[in-house]
Amino acid sequence: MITIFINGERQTLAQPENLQQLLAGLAGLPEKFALAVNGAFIPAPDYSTTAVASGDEIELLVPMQGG
Amino acid sequence: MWSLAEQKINSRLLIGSALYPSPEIMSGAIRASGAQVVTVSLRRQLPNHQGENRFWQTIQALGVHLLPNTAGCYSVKEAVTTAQMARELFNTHWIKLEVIGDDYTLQPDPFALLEASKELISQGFEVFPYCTDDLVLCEKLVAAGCRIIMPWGAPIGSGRGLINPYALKNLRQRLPEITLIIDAGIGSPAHAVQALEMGFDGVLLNTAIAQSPEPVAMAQAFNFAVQAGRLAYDAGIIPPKDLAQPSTPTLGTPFWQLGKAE
Repeated sequence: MITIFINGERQTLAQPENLQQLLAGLAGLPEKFALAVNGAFIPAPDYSTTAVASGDEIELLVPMQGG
Repeated sequence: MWSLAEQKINSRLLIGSALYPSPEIMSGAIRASGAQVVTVSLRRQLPNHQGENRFWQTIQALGVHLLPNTAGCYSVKEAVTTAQMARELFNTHWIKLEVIGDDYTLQPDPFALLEASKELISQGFEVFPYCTDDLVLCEKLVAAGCRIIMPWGAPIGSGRGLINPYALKNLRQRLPEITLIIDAGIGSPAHAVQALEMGFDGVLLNTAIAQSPEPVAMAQAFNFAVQAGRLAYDAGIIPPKDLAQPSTPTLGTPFWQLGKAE
């Protein structure tokens, strides 16, 4: 098991093979989003080659109103 | 019709999508404004969040150019990462670059802004930097590769209008080839007219429309204002004079000689 943080919320889950597998296991994932891991942007095509380790901080952002 | 980063645009008003009472009013106001460029942002959402993203569906239906911002960023790293995420999320290389340096005035950090601009331009972004009216900063942003500069009229949301017309006039004169858009501080359509009459290429605003009791009507007022301001600029505004000059011809004035005799 590993502990990660998604948008600051702690989650404990089984060690995934990569970021794509982690996302596949999340319920209610938004249809449109972009990700950063530990402050670095991860392009969508790289999800399947990005490793996830305990303590990783994942930012999951969606479109919102802005000025 | 004018060009904004290779896009042909009709309206000189750029509008924000925040602070409206509802998505329906936002949509109505954007349509009434005539704006074809709309600013958007990115925010956290937990995977278990309930409900669909109504905002995204509404904004997509408008068929406008999206200008994502980096609002809330205080460092170069945060701003660059947010811009990269925005590029993927909104499928555009346009970025309204905000790097805040002061919480009370939301004044941009000029040093971080310049550094972030250089990095993002090197990564292929079209950077729309939100900056102060400081001439040297704006010149350095241009030297870094910015083709569009967005000086503030006044602090974000203050509605105070163009608080330093001298500096803004100077910017317009010194950067004649650069697209200059007044971003932030516009409170009334009169401020937009003033900016356009000064030769600014456009204005970007949000609060003045969204927080009006009647956002759709106010959006239409700004639509007219930017058109009036630009028409006046193109037509040419007479210089002010210290003394009166009669507009009615004096030749042939009735009782002219009689009046002089008395």
